[in-house]
Formats: sequence, C-alpha cells, structure tokens
Amino acid sequence: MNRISRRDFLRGSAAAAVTGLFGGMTVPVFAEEAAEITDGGSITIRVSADPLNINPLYVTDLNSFTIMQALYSPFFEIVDGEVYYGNGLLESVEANDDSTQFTLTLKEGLTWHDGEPITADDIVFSMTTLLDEEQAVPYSTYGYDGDGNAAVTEAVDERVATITFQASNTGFLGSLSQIYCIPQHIYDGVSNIGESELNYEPVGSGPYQFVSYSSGQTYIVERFDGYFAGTPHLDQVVFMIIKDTNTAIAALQSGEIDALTISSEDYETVNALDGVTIYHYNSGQVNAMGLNMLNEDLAKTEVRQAIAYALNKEELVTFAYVSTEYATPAYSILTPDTLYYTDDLTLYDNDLEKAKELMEEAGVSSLSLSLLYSTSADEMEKEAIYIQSMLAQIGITVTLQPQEDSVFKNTLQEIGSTAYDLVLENWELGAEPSLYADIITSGSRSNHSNVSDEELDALWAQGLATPDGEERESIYHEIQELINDQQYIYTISYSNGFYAMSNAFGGFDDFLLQTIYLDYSQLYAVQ
Amino acid sequence: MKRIISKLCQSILILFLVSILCFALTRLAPGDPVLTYVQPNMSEAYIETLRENLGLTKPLYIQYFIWLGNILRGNFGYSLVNTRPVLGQILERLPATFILMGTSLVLAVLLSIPLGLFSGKYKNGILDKVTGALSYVGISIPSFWFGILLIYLFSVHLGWLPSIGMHTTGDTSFPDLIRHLILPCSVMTFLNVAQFSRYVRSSTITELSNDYVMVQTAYGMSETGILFKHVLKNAMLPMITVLGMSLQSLVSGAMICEQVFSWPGTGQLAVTAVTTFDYPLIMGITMMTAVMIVAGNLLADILYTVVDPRIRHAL
Repeated sequence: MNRISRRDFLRGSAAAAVTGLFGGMTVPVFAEEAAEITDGGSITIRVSADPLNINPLYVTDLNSFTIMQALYSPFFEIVDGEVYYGNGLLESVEANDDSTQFTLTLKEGLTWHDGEPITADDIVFSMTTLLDEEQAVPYSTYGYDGDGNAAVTEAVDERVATITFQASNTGFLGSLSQIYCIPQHIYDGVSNIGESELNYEPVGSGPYQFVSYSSGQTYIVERFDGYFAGTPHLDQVVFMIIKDTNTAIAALQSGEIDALTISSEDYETVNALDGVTIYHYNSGQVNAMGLNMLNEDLAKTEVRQAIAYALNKEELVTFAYVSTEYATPAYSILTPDTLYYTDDLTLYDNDLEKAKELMEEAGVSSLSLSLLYSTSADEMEKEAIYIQSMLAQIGITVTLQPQEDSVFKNTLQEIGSTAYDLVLENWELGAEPSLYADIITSGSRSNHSNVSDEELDALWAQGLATPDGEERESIYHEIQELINDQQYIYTISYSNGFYAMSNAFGGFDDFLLQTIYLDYSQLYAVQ
Repeated sequence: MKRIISKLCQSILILFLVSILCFALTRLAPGDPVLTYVQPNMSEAYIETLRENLGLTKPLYIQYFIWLGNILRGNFGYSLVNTRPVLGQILERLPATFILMGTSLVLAVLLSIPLGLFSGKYKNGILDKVTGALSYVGISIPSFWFGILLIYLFSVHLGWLPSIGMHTTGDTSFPDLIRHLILPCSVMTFLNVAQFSRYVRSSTITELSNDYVMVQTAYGMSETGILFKHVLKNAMLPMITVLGMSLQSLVSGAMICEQVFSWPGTGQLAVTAVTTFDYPLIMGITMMTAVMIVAGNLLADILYTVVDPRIRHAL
C-alpha cells in the first residue's frame, strides 16, 4: 500500500504552493525589531480560494488546510524530525518495541469549542471514521500497516487510547501527526460526515473557533478562551478570499490584508514595500523533471543519463529562480532535512561530450520529446525554456507543452499517462523517507515517470518494515543511489517559501512550525 | 400578441439548444472532475464507484436527459467539488453581482444618454472629441489592467478607497458597501459608457438628419426642445436592444472585474467552477446566463412594440 502524506495531497503546483516551512528554519530578511507583544487585535490573512471542506479528515486543498489549522489541533506535530507536543492534543505518544502498538495520552482538561470534554472516545471515533469505507476519508491509508491490516483503536480510560497493528508500522507516528481528532458528540451517527452540513459550522479543538463564513469573501474565527496551550494573543483571525495575486499584493500594500504567502516572482515587488517583512523558510518542496518511462527512448538508461549530462543544474537553477536565495540545486529526491538523506551520489551534470557519447551508445541520434508544465509558475516556464535549449545540443528536440494549472494537475492524476514525455513536477513530503515512495513506486498515482522497477519497489517496502537504525539508513541510501543512477527523475531544486507579513504583527517563527503546519496561537500584534 | 408568443416559443427552443451545446462542450473540454479530487492513495475501484455515484459513467445523452429532467423540476444538482447545492451557491452570490452590475448599468445609461446626445448634436465639437477618445480607450483597455490601475491609485497611493471585497470585516453598513462599490463600479461603468454613448451618438446623428427635425425647427421649436422631446425618444430605440443584451450581466457578473476587486459575485464563482471542472455549477451559471440573454432579447422586442408604434403597426 502506498503511503502518502497530507503534504502530498495538498501540494499545489510550484508557485501556488510555496507555503510553509521545513526543518523549522526561518531566516527573516530584516532583523526583527524588538517588538512588544500586545494581546488583542485582528489579523487578516489572504487565502486564494474558498475552502472546500473544513472537516480535518476531509481537507484536501491548501486553503482549507490553512484555515482548518486555526480551528483544530493535531495530536502532535513532527518538527525537525522530533515529536512536538506544543500545539497538540496529546501529552505523550509511545510505541512498543516492535512498533505494533501506540499508546496515546491526551493532555488534561481538554475541551471542544462547545465546552464538551475531549476524551479517548473521540480518538476511537476519529480512527473508526478514518477506516470506515462508507465515510470515504481520503486519508484512510494512514490507518493501515504495511501488510494492509487496519488499526484497532481502543479507549483505555478517559485520556488514554491504544492503536494496535498486526505488523510493525515504523512510519505510523508520521501518519498519526496527519490524522486529526473530530468530536464524536457532533458527528456520531452521521452517515456521510464528509458531506455533512455540520462541517459548515465546525466545532473544533484549536486556538480559534468558528464565527462566520461568507462565500467568496471571508472566513472568520475568534479566540477560544478554553484553548489548552494558553489564551491565543489575537482576538480574531480573518481569512480573506482573494483569487488574484496582484490584487492581494495591492491589498497588503494598502493595509487591507496583513499576511500572505508569496512566490519568488513577486519577491522583489513585495520586498520594496514599507512596513512588510518577508520571512524565508524551507518549503520542503522538491522541484524536478519526470522522464516518462513509457516513451521507448526514455526507457533507455543511457538516454536519461545523457539528458542529465546535457544540463547544467546550477545554471538551470540560477536561470529559473534568478538567485540561489530562492532555490538551491537538488541532487536527491529527498529534501536535505529528511531522515537518511544523502548527497553522496554520482554526479550526472554538465558534460556535453559524455551526453553525446551516451546518446550514441543508446543508438539514438535524434529525438523529439514533449515537455509538460503548468503555466501557473514563471519558474516552470523558465526551466522548460532552459531544458529545451540545452537538450537541442544533443539532438533532442523538445516541444514545450504548457497547460493551464487545473488541466495540468488533472493530466498528472492519470496513471500511466502518455500525454507527455517530460514533465515538470514538484512534491512536499516531509522528513519521513518512506513517504517519498509514492512518487516513484509502480502503479502509484504520483509516479509521473511511470517507473516500474521491482528492485526499487522491494527497497521501499523493506525500508518501511525496518526499524530506525543503520540498516534502515543503508536501505534509503541505496534507494537514492538507484534513482540517481537511473535518472528516472531529474531533480532540479529545493525551493524556498516566502511569507510576507505586516510589521504590525509578530511571532512568525513560532507560528510556522514546519512547511505548511501552523500554530495560530503564536501570532501577535506588535505595539 | 401572436408575435410575442412565437418569440417566446423561439426562446424556449434556443434555450434548449444552448443547453445541449453547453452540456456537450463542458464534457468535451479537457479535464476530468473526478481526477481533480482524487487522492493519490484512492484505489481504482473506489474512483470508479465515485464516478458512478456522480453519474459520470452513463452515456452522455442519458446524463443530459437526467440533468434536463432535474433542472426542469428546479433541481440544479450539487457541486462536484464541495457537494453544496448549485442553486444555493449561485443565489448567495447573486446579490453581490446584482449590486455591482445593476449600479453600473444604471449609471452607464444615465451618463451615456446626455453624453451621446450632445456628442451627436455637436458633432466634432470638443465634447464629441473628448468622449470619442475616451470611448476608444474604454473599449480597448483590458478591464483587469484598468482595475489594477485604479487600485494602485486610489487604494495604495491615496488610501481613499478599499480595494477588495464588499465589506470591511465586521462592518455591514450601507456607506461601507458604497465605499467598496466605487472602484469596481467605476470600471464597469466606464467600460459600459464607452460603448453605450457611441450608440446614442450615432442614432442621434441619424435622427437629427431626419425631416421631422427640420420641420420642428421651421416651426420655431427650440433646439434643446427638439433634442429632448423628439430626438431623444427615437435615439433611445437602439439602446433598448443594447440594454436587453446587457441584462444577462446582472446574473453572470463580470468575471475579470470581480476577480480583480475580489468582489464575491457569480463571475468569480464561474471562474472557480471552470477551473475545478465542476460541471453542475458550470451548467447552472451558463443556463441562468442564457435565460437572461434570451429574456433580455424578448423584453427588448416587447419594449420595441410598446415604444415604437411603427413596429406595432407593422405586425
């Protein structure tokens, strides 16, 4: 069974999805002035579209996810590869020796926004809903072990629940951090929770509670005084729906909104504004080019290696992102902060002679390939243009195939698509290496290169079933080497995320826990 | 009367044809609504069930008849994306669009009539030249550009007016609405006046060259008298058609203008529907727009017979 992270679901294409931080590393461009925290006030944050579904078990789009996190608390987060309980409902989570049973202990005195206590029964209910096929929860695979057996959840007492699997499930903590607890007393007996009208007025557990939603305008939440991690600083958070990015930036300038994520295209514009700070963070996003193995020429290893040799990665990144401040060259499919990442890999780069030799070896003298990408991001377009011009030197004619973003995403969803030969793609999968299997495992929907490599499949499965340690490390190193040597995917860059926020507010470093994971209780107004 | 009934029958036929065409076109366009919300870990079997539940596995013509049957009973269906009722979603956006488009239509008519009349009367005069030049500008500039320009000028630099939305958060008062309305409404009004005033101007010129004007002048009637009492009435005739055609905008909104000003109307909803392949929502908005276009034309036809006896007697 493929393991997918929520990040994967939520990843948009390039610019639209430049959100969140990875590795907890934030580098404000300007030194933040000594700020005095004041309680109260209201912040207006831009979201680019109406939320589709705010129920955390059914959130599949980034806008809903951004808003949902103000309303619901996770069990815990994983920050820098460590379990972080700060904004989580749990006081502790413990695995037994062979990772078949996990014991979850809730913090004391937790309540839902309507005052009802949060108990172990809510955990049982949420896990049961997750696994109930009738409820069609998109994240249901989180509840299964590697052999496809469903988890069994039991309440031990008011605050303690256990989740048991038949086989070891080393990656489960990663999954559990993505599963959210929903209130049993609200949803009990509802036949179709995902489509229930109850989701229009959510009762959550997060720092802020629901106030109002007006379609196309705003989603407003207000401070929840019963929040377990201390009263949130701001009185109110307004999510303002603004589709057009130019409008949003003008609104930031005029003070009508206070914060938004921006792409590197808009960096200079926003950077020139007074009273606004741009926070840099590691977005956890890997940008790459997939080589479709269903193309008979691309199925030849030499051709794929030749393509890598024909390109100069540093030049490509500088060309597409203007500055390495915005993105750094990527050599592994894992991000540098992922467990067992290695860059100790054979370098296939910038050697035109070698590329020509390999093409000759493969018996391919001229080749026509289409390169699919989304029009939503300038970077993709530039990458495409660079790749087109470089590959021409080894006799490969690249036809650019830009697609409107929604059509592009749609095309990518098709398993075994032959609609493209090369495709510009990106992913944000977090720090757990097993989650990366999804992008390059036979039959997976995100396997845009249509790779079918039994050795690789076996390695991924082995990695998941092996407890952390040297053995597991060597498996993931082997995986990275194999993918690099085969060049199934030509990794391009790790891009940074940028969050622009008015200087009237502070607390960004604690607000953005990791990539797209936010703790709204940490935002505050500055005097 | 007979003519009106036959027009009505024609209109129904047109709507029917429009619905077939739109239904076919939305389905032929690239993109698959199921794939837009398929998650990577959903099994193929589950996706098939999903497709079946949404009625997308049936032959296209059967899907059409099901849709038609539903819509004739007033059931617009449910959004494929957020599962909310289509009609409800359109209705909650309608007031915003109605306010914006209605205000700008009324203002445009009020402005373009005197502008057109006097431009026609004093052909090649200063007023005519200025309105002419502005009209060309209005017709040729893209509305998103003009919108952004106004935002930068009035919201960002001068800070006089808000640039986004319909209300300041927490303030639902009428003056607040007006403040938010000014910029988007100015864009729409300007674009409309640019067109409307041209129509009024040219029909004024035509009317002024008619014999009855000379006769009136010969009888000693004042120039303004002729212009407002006689020429205006006749010059207004083409405006009825133009307005009839514009009536649909009260429902369909202005996609670009609404987007730029983040105005929560149906135009924005339509854009979202298209980008998410939300067939029922696309069809809902398209059909409501089609109904308004047809109704607008019908109304224009009827109005013609009311205001112009020549047409009434010709029937």
